[in-house]
Amino acid sequence: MNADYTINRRQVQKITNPADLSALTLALEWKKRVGGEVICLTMGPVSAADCLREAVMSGADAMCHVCDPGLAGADTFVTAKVLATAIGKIGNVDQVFCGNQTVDGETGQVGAEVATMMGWACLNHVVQVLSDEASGICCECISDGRTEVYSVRRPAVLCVCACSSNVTLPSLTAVRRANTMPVRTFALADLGLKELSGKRSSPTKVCAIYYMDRNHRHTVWLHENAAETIAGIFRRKAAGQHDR
Amino acid sequence: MIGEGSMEYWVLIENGSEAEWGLMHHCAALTAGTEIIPAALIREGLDAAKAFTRGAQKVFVLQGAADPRQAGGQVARLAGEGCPAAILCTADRHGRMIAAVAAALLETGLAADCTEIRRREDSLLVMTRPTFGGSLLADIICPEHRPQIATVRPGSYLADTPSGGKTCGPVIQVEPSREPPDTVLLQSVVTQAQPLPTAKKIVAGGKGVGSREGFQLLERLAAAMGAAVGASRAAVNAGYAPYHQQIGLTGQTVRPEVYLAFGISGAAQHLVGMEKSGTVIAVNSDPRAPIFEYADYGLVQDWRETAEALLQLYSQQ
Repeated sequence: MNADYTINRRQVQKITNPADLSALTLALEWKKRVGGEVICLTMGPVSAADCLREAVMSGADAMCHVCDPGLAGADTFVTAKVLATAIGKIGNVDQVFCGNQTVDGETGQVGAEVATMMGWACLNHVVQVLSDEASGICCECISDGRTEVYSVRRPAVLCVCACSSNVTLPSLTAVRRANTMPVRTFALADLGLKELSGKRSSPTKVCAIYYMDRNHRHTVWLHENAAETIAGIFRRKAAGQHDR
Repeated sequence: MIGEGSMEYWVLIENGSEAEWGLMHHCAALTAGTEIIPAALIREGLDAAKAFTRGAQKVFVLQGAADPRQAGGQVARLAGEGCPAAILCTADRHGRMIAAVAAALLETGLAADCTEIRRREDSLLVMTRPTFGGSLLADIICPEHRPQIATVRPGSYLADTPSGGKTCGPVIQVEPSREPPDTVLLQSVVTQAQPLPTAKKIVAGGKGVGSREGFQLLERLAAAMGAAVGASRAAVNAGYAPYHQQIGLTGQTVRPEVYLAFGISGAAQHLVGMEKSGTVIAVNSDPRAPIFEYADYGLVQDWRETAEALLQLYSQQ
């Protein structure tokens, strides 16, 4: 963490966000079904291109990277605005798959904000794309103890849960392809967003960061008759009694 | 929009869930003693009287059924006219989408998945959320844009009893969304008879359980104990348990009266999801597993030995 509460991305171990891997898996499956090409788009510092190359090793066809130092400290509103603009700039995009949430910010809202800014439909908590009908795309979603099937109108942003990843080890050909493929890079000026600034344009700001002051509990160690003790605790709780 | 906003905080009550009413109760507490009016935005069909007893001083009834995008548009249109200072929603599946749609349309800030909302002396909302895998907390503010929008993790605020507020007040009907729905629900199947967020007893397994078959044993045990089944992220990633059982930062938040953890190490992102549990019992063959620091009862034993002993006990009853 930097002093101004932006993330020091040089020090953090870089992994592709698990939900994005799931989104990529569904996108590649979608491509097998309907054809076309899978373009990977990310907004991040220079090192974010590594995740794009990994995506190409898994079968994606093109890489687009929005990279501009002015974007440091961007909140989800600015991120969504940049991504929505970039998607428009790439052009002829029919379908967007994205992760439901990230492991750094975990806000789970960029996909829906991007869809709203583009005037597209959006479906979140997607785990599987089932079929492509005239009326829309049928997807399986999970929420609050239920599994549901929705039809969503096209074009749509599908926000995918971090559970559908099926990315296999790449072949040598795939690795070579990824390492030689050019990345299409956009700076803010290329998107017509020169005035946008991660820190100044973001409506939300972090004003404090602190470590979780977790409640350490005093542990009573169980030995003999542990099962009876545990069953007793469950029985007391069911009867609404307090513990100890 | 940028500006002061009116002196109203709105709480969205889309489903009438316990979490939403808890949030309304908290909003009333936040605004008590100030000039700020707590208002409820309730979906048509829900009880306006209940909103008043939970502390709302004004109720807007959102007419018409609405999918999350229509609802977000409805809320944004209303906010464009009413200019509330803040809008709070629960961070359940629909609430997250509704808040994101509204924030994008209103071009304002959204702090998502917060565990706490409080007011500063300068009357800005401070919206606290775990970040970075659950090991840090971040306080977020939205200094200039209005409304300040936040989604709050279900279970962060509960209200078992009415706050003793008035039982009636102004009720304003809000016309339905003008747009057609984006999504149509075709099928809905219950996968968890006891949804985790409201379960009173939970049996959870971690990577230490070691297999899908191991989790099937835990499911039999949970059924015998009348408990819901949960899983750590590591167990889900390893394929031992389905994603809808995941507890933690990228899963669900639970606050059962008793939480029995088998083979869970106690990573920060898991603790975020269950640290408000009443009594925590941890079983792990590793005595140095971090979970023991947050457990009321600890048992250093092979998880399967304990689970089978418990199952035997219950089957004898």
